[in-house]
Amino acid sequence: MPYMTLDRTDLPSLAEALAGRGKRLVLPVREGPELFYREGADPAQLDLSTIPKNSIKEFLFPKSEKILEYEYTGNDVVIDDVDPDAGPAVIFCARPCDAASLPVVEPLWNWDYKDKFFNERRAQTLVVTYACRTAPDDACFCVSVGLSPSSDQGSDVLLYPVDDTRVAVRLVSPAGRELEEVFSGFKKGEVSEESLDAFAKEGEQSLADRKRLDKVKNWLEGHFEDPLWEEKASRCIGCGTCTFLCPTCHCFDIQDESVFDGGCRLKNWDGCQFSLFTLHTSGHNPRDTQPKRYRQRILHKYSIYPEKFGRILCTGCGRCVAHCPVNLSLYDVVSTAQERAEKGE
Amino acid sequence: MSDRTEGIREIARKWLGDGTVEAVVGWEQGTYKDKTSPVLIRTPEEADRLLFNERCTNNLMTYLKREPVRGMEKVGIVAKGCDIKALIGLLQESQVEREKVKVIAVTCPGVKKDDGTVPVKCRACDVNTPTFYDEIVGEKVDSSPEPGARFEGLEALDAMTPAERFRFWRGELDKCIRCYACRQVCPLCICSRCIAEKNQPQWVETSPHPRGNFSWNLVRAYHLAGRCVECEACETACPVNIPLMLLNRAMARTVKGAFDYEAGKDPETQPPLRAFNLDDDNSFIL
Amino acid sequence: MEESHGTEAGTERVDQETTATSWEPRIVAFICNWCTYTGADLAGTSRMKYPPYVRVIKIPCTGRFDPLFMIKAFERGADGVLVSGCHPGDCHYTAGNYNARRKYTVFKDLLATLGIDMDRVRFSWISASEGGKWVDTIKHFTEVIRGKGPFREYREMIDVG
Ligand code: SF4
Ligand code: SF4
Ligand code: SF4
Ligand code: SF4
Ligand code: SF4
Ligand code: FES
Repeated sequence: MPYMTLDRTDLPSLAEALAGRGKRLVLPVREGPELFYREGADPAQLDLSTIPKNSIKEFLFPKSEKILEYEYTGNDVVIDDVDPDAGPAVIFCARPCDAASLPVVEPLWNWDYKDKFFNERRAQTLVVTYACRTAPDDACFCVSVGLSPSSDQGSDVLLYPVDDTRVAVRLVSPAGRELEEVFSGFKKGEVSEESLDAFAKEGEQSLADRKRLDKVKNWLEGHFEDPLWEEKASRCIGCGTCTFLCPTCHCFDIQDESVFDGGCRLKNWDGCQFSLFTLHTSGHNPRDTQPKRYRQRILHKYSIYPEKFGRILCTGCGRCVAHCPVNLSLYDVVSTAQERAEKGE
Repeated sequence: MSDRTEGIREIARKWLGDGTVEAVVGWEQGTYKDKTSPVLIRTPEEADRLLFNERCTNNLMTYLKREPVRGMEKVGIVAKGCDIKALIGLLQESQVEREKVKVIAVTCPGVKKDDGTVPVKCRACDVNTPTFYDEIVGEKVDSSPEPGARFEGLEALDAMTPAERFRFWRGELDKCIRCYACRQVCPLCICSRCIAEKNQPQWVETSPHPRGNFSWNLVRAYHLAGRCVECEACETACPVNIPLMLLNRAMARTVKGAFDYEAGKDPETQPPLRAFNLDDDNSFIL
Repeated sequence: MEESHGTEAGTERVDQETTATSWEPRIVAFICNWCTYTGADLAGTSRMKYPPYVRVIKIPCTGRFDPLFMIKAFERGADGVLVSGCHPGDCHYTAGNYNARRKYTVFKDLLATLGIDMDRVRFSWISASEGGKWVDTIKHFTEVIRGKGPFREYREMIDVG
């Protein structure tokens, strides 16, 4: 089956057409030396040169979100439920590792409690993904966790930049297929299924040296105590950059902000790399050193979460590798674990 | 640079071998692109991991405030002139004892940021050849601070009206995600529990909305006023690229203008907010 | 007493009080126990009249003033903030006000760098015998703030999600 192609230069117009009637539009634009996904950015500024520094997480799970309001009236407290302040959205030219984070975290938000805030945003968000022809950054390792530079997981539509001028379109989900007409409006030509397969191969080839991380879980289960943690993570400064930039990290804190007559309750990003995260009121802190906190991050992603939800809580986007201020690379740590497991250590 | 690397390794090997120090904090080759990574070396054999090159941007003094280095009796630390300024600040405030820290100073012609550009601090550097250390490696590098480089970003800010400045910062601080990387990486943010983490009462709103972010960034800059040594670690670490150095440099300029003080110069002086003069400026007080 | 309850922190409800035409300035004054507070007291016992829109918060000494007090006041709806204490040389604790003066110097520049309207911030030295100066200071500051209108920009920066 052939796939339609459109001109790369038409992407900004396509973004506008998809957002059309009043949808929120998120797309990657340049800010200084880096790219960021931004809501409301000018489509003409669309920049696809590399993977953005932030992930798409903030558009489904905002850094701060109001979850209820309350008022004091006399001795009573009146609680008002609030709805997610969302509305339909299009994330345009997400990277595959970002899109793939959605099916990874969905079970979490629907486990013992169904988080209406995430779910409603998710239901209203269309994800149009821009596949990577070759890995855009040295930190990428999607192939290590079973994904690929042209993975369609979590995407409604997958765009393949098959060459410097043409972009092939694959409508992945039912929501994506409903948009056939919008895409057809930009159609300029066609490519064969084989050329998309070749594209996918080229992408995977660019990451040929990355290790498969299939034995990491096993290794972790037997090495809760191991010199590796101190050796690698005593440099960690607990800055939380890795958790906040990560598309799959999802911890939050609940804060009440109130004045005399009422207030509201907010759900704010939080992260396991902060010492306060596990500090008990008594003063006891079960994760009292940074290596223990770092170990937690790795364990949660590569052992605990897979155990519970059957998926690694990491899409290999490499942000925690590229942006850690002390260059403590998660890939370095988990690939070391993999190597040791392979050697039976 | 390789002679510097050799020099560092040699001293580290010696100190670790004869028990002068328990460990040496230095830089090693990183795993991502050309980045280096801070490393804690505990045996003479491992000393060969240490290196120095133009990508040694991290200010290692931040490790003095955290375990395991904090608990050590004697520790060696590799430092550029700008990093040593932070140590001087810590000494002034009695945060570390001089006897505990053995400094391997390295002369430095300047470092490069991740994007390949030269940081402002290097263009404005007056300590390419450090003067405060225990050992020094590398040949002498003369300093020629580029006139005006240090405060160059402030001119554009000064030229704005207050309302424009407020809009500018609102836009910038709106991006803050309250990761506190700026604080964690700062060698002089030394509180074991930061005011931003105190909740009885909660002075700083922890929510990352613009108002909470203003409050946080105000407090951070204010607590560093007269203490910040302009190492740029905070701005470099900020994952959302907020120009934190504009705030830090504005404070440095005020401190210079009002109290003729520069942080990180002299361990014997008092930081300006721990001291006063009877004839300090009184003109703005009615 | 005029209500300060209408100020919102963490909610986006509209502040009825400040949208109404009856808006009057809300000034928060952090004043030291020994001089300015006593001076303000003197103004009261001497039956001097001044605008009633100032909320006094007594601090032991200007040395106790923390810039976060000012930020909190702006967060909670202050339109202007005054900090006042003993004249140089008169501090009950000898040097609290000299230390405070350094803090002010730094903090006011920080606020200005961030674009906070510095007309909304005021520092003064008012002694126990200067009831008249207290009255003049409040009168003048109230007029300045009245001219500027409510300081919404700061407290309303709470859009989330
Ligand atoms: S753990 Fe790191 S590589 Fe994996 S998804 Fe998160 S940021 Fe990306
Ligand atoms: S691993 Fe790196 S990014 Fe993550 S908390 Fe530690 S220092 Fe920060
Ligand atoms: S505030 Fe920033 S520039 Fe100043 S000392 Fe701290 S990390 Fe360095
Ligand atoms: S911001 Fe202030 S309170 Fe927080 S750690 Fe730094 S100096 Fe301490
Ligand atoms: S590093 Fe940047 S984003 Fe993080 S708390 Fe500091 S200013 Fe905010
Ligand atoms: S007691 Fe009034 S300023 Fe110190």
